[in-house]
Formats: sequence, structure tokens, C-alpha cells
Amino acid sequence: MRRYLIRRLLLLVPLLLGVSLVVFLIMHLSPGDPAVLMLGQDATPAAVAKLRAELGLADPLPVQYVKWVGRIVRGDLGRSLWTSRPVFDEVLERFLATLLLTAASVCISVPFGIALGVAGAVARGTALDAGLTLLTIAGISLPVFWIGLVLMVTFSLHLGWFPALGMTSPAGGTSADVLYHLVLPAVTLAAPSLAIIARITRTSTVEALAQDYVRTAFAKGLPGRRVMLKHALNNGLIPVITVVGLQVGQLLGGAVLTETVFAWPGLGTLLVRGILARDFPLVQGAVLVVATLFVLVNLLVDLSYAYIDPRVHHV
Amino acid sequence: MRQMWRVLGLILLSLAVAAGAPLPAGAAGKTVVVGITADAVILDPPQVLSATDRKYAMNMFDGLVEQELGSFKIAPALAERWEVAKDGHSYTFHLRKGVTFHDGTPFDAEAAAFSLDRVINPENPYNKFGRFIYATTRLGQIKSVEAVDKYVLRINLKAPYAPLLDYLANDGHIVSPAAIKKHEKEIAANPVGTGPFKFVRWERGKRLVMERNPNYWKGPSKIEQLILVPMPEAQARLIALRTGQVDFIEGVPPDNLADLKRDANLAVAEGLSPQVWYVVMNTKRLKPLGDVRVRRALNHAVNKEAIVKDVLKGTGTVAVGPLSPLLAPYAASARDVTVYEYDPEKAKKLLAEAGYAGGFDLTLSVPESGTGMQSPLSMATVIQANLAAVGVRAKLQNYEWGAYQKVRREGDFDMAAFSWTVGIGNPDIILYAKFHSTEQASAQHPSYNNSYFADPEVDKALEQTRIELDEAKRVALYKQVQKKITDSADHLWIDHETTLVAMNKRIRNFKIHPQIHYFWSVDAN
Repeated sequence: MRRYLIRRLLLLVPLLLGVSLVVFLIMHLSPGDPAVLMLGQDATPAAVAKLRAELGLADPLPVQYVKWVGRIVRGDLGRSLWTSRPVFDEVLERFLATLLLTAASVCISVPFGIALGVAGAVARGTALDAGLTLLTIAGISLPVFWIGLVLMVTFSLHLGWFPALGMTSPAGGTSADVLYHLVLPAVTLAAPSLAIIARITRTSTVEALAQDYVRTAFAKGLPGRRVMLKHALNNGLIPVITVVGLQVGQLLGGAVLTETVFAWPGLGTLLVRGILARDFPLVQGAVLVVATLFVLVNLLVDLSYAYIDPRVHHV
Repeated sequence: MRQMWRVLGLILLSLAVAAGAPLPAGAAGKTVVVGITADAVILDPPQVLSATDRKYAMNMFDGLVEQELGSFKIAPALAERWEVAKDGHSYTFHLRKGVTFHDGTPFDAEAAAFSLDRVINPENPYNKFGRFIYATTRLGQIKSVEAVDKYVLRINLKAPYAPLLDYLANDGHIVSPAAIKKHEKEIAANPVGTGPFKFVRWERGKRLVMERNPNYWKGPSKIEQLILVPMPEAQARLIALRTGQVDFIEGVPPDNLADLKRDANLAVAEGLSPQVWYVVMNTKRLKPLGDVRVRRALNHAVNKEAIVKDVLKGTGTVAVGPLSPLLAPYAASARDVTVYEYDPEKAKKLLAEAGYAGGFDLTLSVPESGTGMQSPLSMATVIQANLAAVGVRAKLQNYEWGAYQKVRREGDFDMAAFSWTVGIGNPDIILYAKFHSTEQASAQHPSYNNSYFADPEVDKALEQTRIELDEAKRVALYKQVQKKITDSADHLWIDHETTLVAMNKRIRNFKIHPQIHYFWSVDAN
């Protein structure tokens, strides 16, 4: 177990090096010059050259890459081209908001997703199952910004139950205020994951219900509820956990659309701003942080298999 | 399993606790909340580059001179009056007395000189803590700044420079020297000026909170607190306004204008903007576009009125040239320039004359979105249909805004849609960059003259306007330039965007400015 863990953690190094190279190349080779974007209509050739030199963009690309990686090894993610602030601070500031949104949406999508999936599996072939299938397909296919706007129009504009957007009231607010503002974006963000989890739970539970050990459990007279929760669901959950892990990893990278619609100050909006402005160090640093988290979350998921399913052992 | 939920719940709760912060004491009172399309980046005026940052910063600062609300006319601000030396080499400003910065330090010639010197003088010990692009561009003609007397400031120029006051109003805001020394690099996030509102706190991505400056020299504002909140999504911003979460928004989509005007609780303010939306023709790449008859034909082919009325729902003014009427007295009116009325028959005749009776093919490049681009794809689609009606087959090619800048500055297109916002009352910035022959764009020399316009007389006139201090003569020179430009027909000047903001009716006395929302004059119920 420990050796497995160490091996997986060591694998992080080449993986992140690869990620760093890819992000660096994508950012630097795609057309668009941060100096030109910053200067706008004042972008005379002389001003652009001066600014590029100040920003450290005048060096050849390989030199820039080596300098950047050298700094990262020393724990320095560099400074944003636009704000001149340390990238680490920028990312950290936004990360809390993204983490909160992600945690809330997982709290909604996982229990409801599993519940709907199990309900569909138990009632398979009935009108309820068909209705749930339709609902989950809608959840998967409807664009999340549309869901967000519909929720906003319904629950904020017409019913007035929740604030339309932001993380707190305009002047700032208490924790209760934050939770109140969290509801609509969290539900929006949860919708597609919830639907996917429901679909997968349904499929894997239907499969599990057809297994011999489930039949045996029923045969020895165990109550249906117990068979469902103790026997069928436990095995049915393995693929669900994989999906949840992937979703969480993705969400941590910032739910770009949801964050934009709800003016949620998370990593997604930061990354979009960075990409549009060609803020190279900001995007590179943020992507590295996100990639690391993604890998760690997936490692956690792999480890949790052993916890859920005693047949899995990591050697 | 149950344990897991407990853990998740705990995480959620602790995150919410960390994210929330109790309201600071005394934050109540008359508050106005404003929804802005993006977050701020820098709040130190001389370092501000984007129009968005200006909106966040400028309610906290004053310049020596300022733009009158609703126009670009220069008015006294921290300087009560000024004199220009006969040779045009220096400006002497007589400063307002009794003004203090928000940190309590006095404003005088010494302070103003230090604040400006920090920007233009690389030797100033605090110059290295900021990035001052305008020091070499807009303010590049300033040689030195000196305090002649306690309340007399002199700006010495390298050469006579007509746009100086315009640029001082736009980019010469005075920052507290004490704050500059105290905050060093962090001055970018700790603005201290003399303006109507004082900085309270800035939570990036969430809000910028300001409170009124009770000692403001024009008199204190009637509102006690001003909060600017970034809200990138247009529809969400509208909902926030309608639910009362914010009092004021910018960036109203044309399609929602009619709805907003019907809402009894809301008011809409409209004003001219200094922007122009245009299609430029590269006269050096596609043979037909090198022929002035063809270019005039294309000008006659496009129905600008229909674009403004149907696509933009009236949120624009049909253009006759590059300068918005807001740039009076320099902007040419229809009388001063060659106007191409919508006339497809005339267009076909001109094309036939030029030998293109059967039309020709071209590519029309257009960005998906971008600063001042209004509704680029819909507008370009109408232009495409208009051109097709006279036999010119245009293929639309769209770009992301950042990538599009390269296309623009290297002239890599047949025809391309762009916009230009002249942030000051002086047309030099657009006309010189787009029409002086030395500004022709290429991969080796990226610049803005991407129609490859070249006319020695225009060059001479443009150079003359920079040093001519007689306004009447400058106006005549600029009109002559605009006439030449429209004669050459190498641009389709489509429209000037309307500046559009919407607010709750509890906001009173708001006066619109083309680019910045000033809240000093505002009162609220």
C-alpha cells in the first residue's frame, strides 16, 4: 500500500513536467500578444517592444520555459503579467470560492444522483423509470449556463427566494449569507453531475441486482432495503465513485460557465480572464495547480476502491 | 458512508465560514451598488490601461484638469486655471488651495510635481514600483514637472504638444505622495487620491467598496457608500438589477433595451460614445480593392441604417467618418466629407465600370467579440448579405479577440471589422495611427494603418495638428484629413455605439459620461 502510494506520487513529477510543457507551448504558440492586448490602441511598435522586454517576453521560448520551470522548482509560480501579483496568491484567493462551490455541488449531486439512480433501477421498466431517464438526459444535455439563467429567472426574479448572483451581498456578508448565495450556483453546477451519477448508478445497480449473491441474499429472506443498501449498492457504487472523482477533479479546475453566470469569484473566471488577456504566468501557474489537484483527487478515488470493495487490494 | 457525508458537510460549513466576513461597522447608510462587466486589475490611475479599470479607479481621483461630463471639453479641476507659454514649450498651472488627499496630507504643487514625476521620470525612486506605459506614449512629450511656488506647477515639454491637456485629463491623475512612498509596489491596490470617494477595501473578483470623501472640494457626495461589483454575464446582470441586488448596471444588450424601458422601476440613460465600428479594406492584397471605384461601390452597397435599426435596435448613430460627433469640433459632419448613401444600383454601376460586373470573391474577417465590437457577427452577416446583393461574394472568417490583434496589426486580411474608441477629446490617436503613411502595418512593423492609406498632404496635416496650438486651424486641418479619408473610401464607417446604462429609479441626478460612471453628483432614495 505504501509503495503503491509512493509510486503514484513519484509519477506526479513527469506528469506535471509534461503538463507544464503543454500549457507553456499552447499559451506561447497561440496567436495573441499580452503586450499588444495591454496597450490596446497605444500599441506602437516601440511601446510593444519595451513592454515585452519588461514582461520578460523578449527571451527565446526555450529560455523562458527553463527560467519558468526553474522558478517553480524553487516554489515560485511567478507573477501575473497584468496585476504584477504573485500567481500563487491570485490562485489561492480564488481557490477557496471554487472549493466551496465544488463541495456544495457534490453534496447535492452525489446523494440525489445515487437516490434517483437506485429508484430508477428498482422501478426499471415502469413509467417512473422512463420519467427519470428523461430527466437525467435533460440534465446531461442542457447547457449549464441555460440551467443557471432559468433558475435565476425563476427563483430570484419571479419568486425572490434567492439572490441572483455573487458570493455575498454587495457590501459583503456573513457565512449564512454565503450559504444563501451558494444555493443557485451549486444546484446549477450539480445538475449535469447529478444526471450522470444517476445514469451510472442505475446501470450498475441493475447489473448488481442480477448477480447471484443478490439473489442469494433475497433467498435467505433479507429485507429488500437491506439487500439494496448492503449488497447491491456497495458493488454498484464502484463506477459511480470513479465518475464522482473525475467530476470533482474537473470542478476544481473551475466551473467556468457557472462561475461566469453567477459572478462567482472562483478559479474558472480567473482562468478565463487569464486566457483572454494572454496572462501566461497566471494561466500556466493556475493550470499546474489544478492539474496537481486533479491527479491527487484521482489517487484518492483509486485508494477509496479498496475501502468500498474489499476485493480490491493495491500491491 | 454516513461518515463521509458528515465530513463533507463540515468542509462545506467551514468553507462558508471562511468565505463570509461580518460587515464592517458603519457600512450602512445611503449605498449605491454598481454592476460592472469585469473585475478590476489595477487601481493606480497612471498604471491603468483598460477602460474597465478606469471605471473602478476614477471616482477616487482628480487630475489637474478634467473632461466635462457628457463631452470631452476640458474643464479646471485641481488646477483652477493655466497658461501656455508663447512658444508652447511649457504650461503653468495655478492650483486649487485647501485640497487634501484621502490620507489627510495636503495637496499642493510639491505633491502634484512628485506624483507626475513618478510617472515620467525613470530616475524617480518610486518609478520602479509601477509600470507606466503612457510615460513614453501619451505623456511622452513631457520633459519635466516642477513646483514653482506652493500652488504653482509648471510642466515643461520637449516640443509643443497640442493634445497635452486631453491626456492630462485622461491619464494625469494626481496620487498622494505619502501613499506612493508608503505602499511602494502595493500602490496598485491601495488608491489614495483627492476624489469624491475614498477607498475602503477591494476584494478581487467580489467588490470594490468606497465611501464618500466628506472634504471633497466640489462638496461631499450625497451618497455615503459606493460599491462596484464585477458581473460578467449580461443577462445575469439584468436580473440582478431587476431584483434590486444592484442599483446600476452597464453593458445593456440592445435586445433587452425595450424591456428595460417598459419597467416602471428602472430608468435608462443613453449618451453618445467616442467609438466607431468599421470595416477596413486592405488595398494592397486583393486587386479589386485597390480600385477606388470598387471601394466606393462597396460603400454604396452597405445599408448602415438597417444595421443600426435592426441589429443594434437603435443603440448606435450612423457614421459618416471615423470620428464620433462627440469629438466636436473636430468631427466632420456629412457636409464636410464624402457621404456614400445606400444605393445598390449605383454600387453595381461602379463595379461594372471598374470591370467587375460579375462581382468577385473576398474574405471578411470578424472577431467573435471584443472591446467596442458591439454585435460583430450579426453586423458582419448583414454586410455579407448587402455585398452579395451587388454580386460581391464575401466569406466570413471569425477569430478570438486576442488572436485577432495580430491579424489587425499585420494587415493579414482582405476586409476586416474593427472598432476604435477615442478615449479623449483629441482625434490624433486614431487619425495618426490609422492614416499616417509611416504607420503602415506589416509583420515587421505591426501598426494600425492597415488599409495602407498614404497621402503626403494628409501626412503633413497630421504632423501639423500635433504642434498647432490654434484650435480653429487644427479643426480645419482635421476636417481636411477626414475629407481625404472618405474620398479614398477604403473604410466602411458603420456606426458610433450608444453608451447605455440602466439604473433603479431610486438613483437620481446621474449624468452620463461616455466612458466612466461618475457618482459624485448622484443622490439615492
